[in-house]
Amino acid sequence: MKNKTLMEEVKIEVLVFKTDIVGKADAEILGQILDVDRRIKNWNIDHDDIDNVLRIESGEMSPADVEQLVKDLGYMCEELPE
Amino acid sequence: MRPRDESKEAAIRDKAIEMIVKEGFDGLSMQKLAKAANVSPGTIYLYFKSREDLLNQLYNGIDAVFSEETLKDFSPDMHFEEGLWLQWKNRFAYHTKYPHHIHFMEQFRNSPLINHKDIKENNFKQAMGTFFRNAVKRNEMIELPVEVFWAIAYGPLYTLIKFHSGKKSLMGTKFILTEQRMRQAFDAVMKALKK
Repeated sequence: MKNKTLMEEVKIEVLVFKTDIVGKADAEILGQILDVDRRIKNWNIDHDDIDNVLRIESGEMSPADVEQLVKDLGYMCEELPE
Repeated sequence: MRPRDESKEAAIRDKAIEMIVKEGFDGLSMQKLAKAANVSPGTIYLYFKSREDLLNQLYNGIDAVFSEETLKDFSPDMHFEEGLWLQWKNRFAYHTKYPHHIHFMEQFRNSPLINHKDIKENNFKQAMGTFFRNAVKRNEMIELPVEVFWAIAYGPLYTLIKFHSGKKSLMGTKFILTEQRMRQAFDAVMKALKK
């Protein structure tokens, strides 16, 4: 049997959202919150994409959790379906 | 998250290469790509962190295939003529098998994307460097700056591949690159490079 990777053990999920976080300045504001949130393993915003996609790797957060967190900062955030 | 589906990832990669070859890098958006690959934009982000990450992974993936296919049965210790002929055959076979790759690589290398930190070096470059130095050391070819060497050693092959892949060649008719024609060009190249 194949060894389980760390990712499989803690069940890291990739969550993907459409946002209105356009500039790097806004991304930095968001980053101050996301960087210290222990539930989030990795995050990035695709600034080349028209949907300003926010990508989160987390084992503990639901899409609704992320949407709430981002909306609380004043940005639009909507899950992109798989 | 659903488990990684390799066929889905391959479909995304193939479509992305196709779009870039047809429309350039500006023609690639995640939305268009999702439509073409028949997945949702959200799915693309399961496999790739961003558009930038997708482009880097495409390059590294293609480069790895190129390296594997062109180094098939090849060793940098080979005699110069034998080794170069195998390179010609391998490279032609590779371009026939993956016709979009050559265009993608050309576009990528001529763009600032090539300077990204995630772009890896493969063992192909090293093997070719050793092969070149061995040939000079063993007096099997004349000494030339490496760019001049490349232009003479491979330039004719890539020109012929371009004629072969185009619908029309110089004379307005379709040109097929047969092994015999490839050998004619190769022999002329050898005359120029051999000591």
